[in-house]
Amino acid sequence: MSDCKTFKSPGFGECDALRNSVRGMVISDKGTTITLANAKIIGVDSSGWASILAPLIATSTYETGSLVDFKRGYEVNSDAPEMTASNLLFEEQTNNPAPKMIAYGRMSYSEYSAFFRAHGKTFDIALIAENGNPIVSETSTAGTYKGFRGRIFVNKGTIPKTGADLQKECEFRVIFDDAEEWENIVEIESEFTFTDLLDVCPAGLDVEVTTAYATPNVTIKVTSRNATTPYAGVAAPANIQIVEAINDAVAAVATVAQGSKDIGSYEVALTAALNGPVWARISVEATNRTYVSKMFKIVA
Amino acid sequence: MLVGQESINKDFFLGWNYKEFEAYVKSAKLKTGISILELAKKLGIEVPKKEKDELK
Repeated sequence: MSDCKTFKSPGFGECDALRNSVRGMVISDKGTTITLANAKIIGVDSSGWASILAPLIATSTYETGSLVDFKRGYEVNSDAPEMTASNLLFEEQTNNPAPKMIAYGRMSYSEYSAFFRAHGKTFDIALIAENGNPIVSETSTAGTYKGFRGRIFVNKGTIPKTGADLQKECEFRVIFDDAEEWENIVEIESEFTFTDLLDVCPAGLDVEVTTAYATPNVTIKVTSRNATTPYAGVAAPANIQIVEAINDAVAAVATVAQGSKDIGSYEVALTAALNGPVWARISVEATNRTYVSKMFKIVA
Repeated sequence: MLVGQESINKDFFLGWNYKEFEAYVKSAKLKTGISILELAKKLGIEVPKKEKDELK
């Protein structure tokens, strides 16, 4: 099929002000969608953007997306389309390059290193404007929107930067794989600000294994991200999510000792005789805030 | 469920027999404040007759 579509004059509107700049992106799992009504609101539990970023429902319901703030910089670096002139000098566009962008995350390097595991992976990525408006792609289901399908590449395995270059250290290169999704671009007028969106995102925790796994126990120390404040909220085995394990036996958490929670220390009993690595993550739904850690090796 | 200082994943022990449960709890040195027999009862693990008699 050709690229031909019907066109009729659209007319002029009352206002031609520029829209807001892009301020961030929501990296969501492939297939994540949101309805128009939900895309307009922060929501709670299974509604609004909270349903993707921080569903406060149960320990078995985890977030499917995370927000990256681009306040440290954002630029579009898509290749120009190929323009070909025939031998009779008839010029036209002969390809449709993949849209690309580079963004610099406003986050600590500790947080950035968690995204190393996202390197080369495919996500559905919604952009968020400075005024909080989501920029998404309309799907073929009426009133349902999604992020743009793309792959993320991060700055890993490189020498740390210095001086002014530090601002560009948390680099996200995104290559979008479907140019047609961008033809279905929609900016949704939201009822929230970018700050509202940041505030609903999970608070970060740091976890350190202080006594290595000796079947079946391991001791972990949990603190607020980039701080020494102990975190006392790991109240149940379900708060420790086993994410990846190579064992034939199911790797699971049997008990979490609460005796030293005030100093953020927990003795955890796991399945016996596990072989490492076993990767875990802390995920806690408190009254109005989710707390999550980066993935860590609970069994080395 | 919270028993003593331990927050316990009851599902973890589903289908366990008493002997393997006893061995696990001993190796994990759980600080429940109650005996292994009492803990087994709380978790719905079937206690063999010999141990049941000891409990009496």
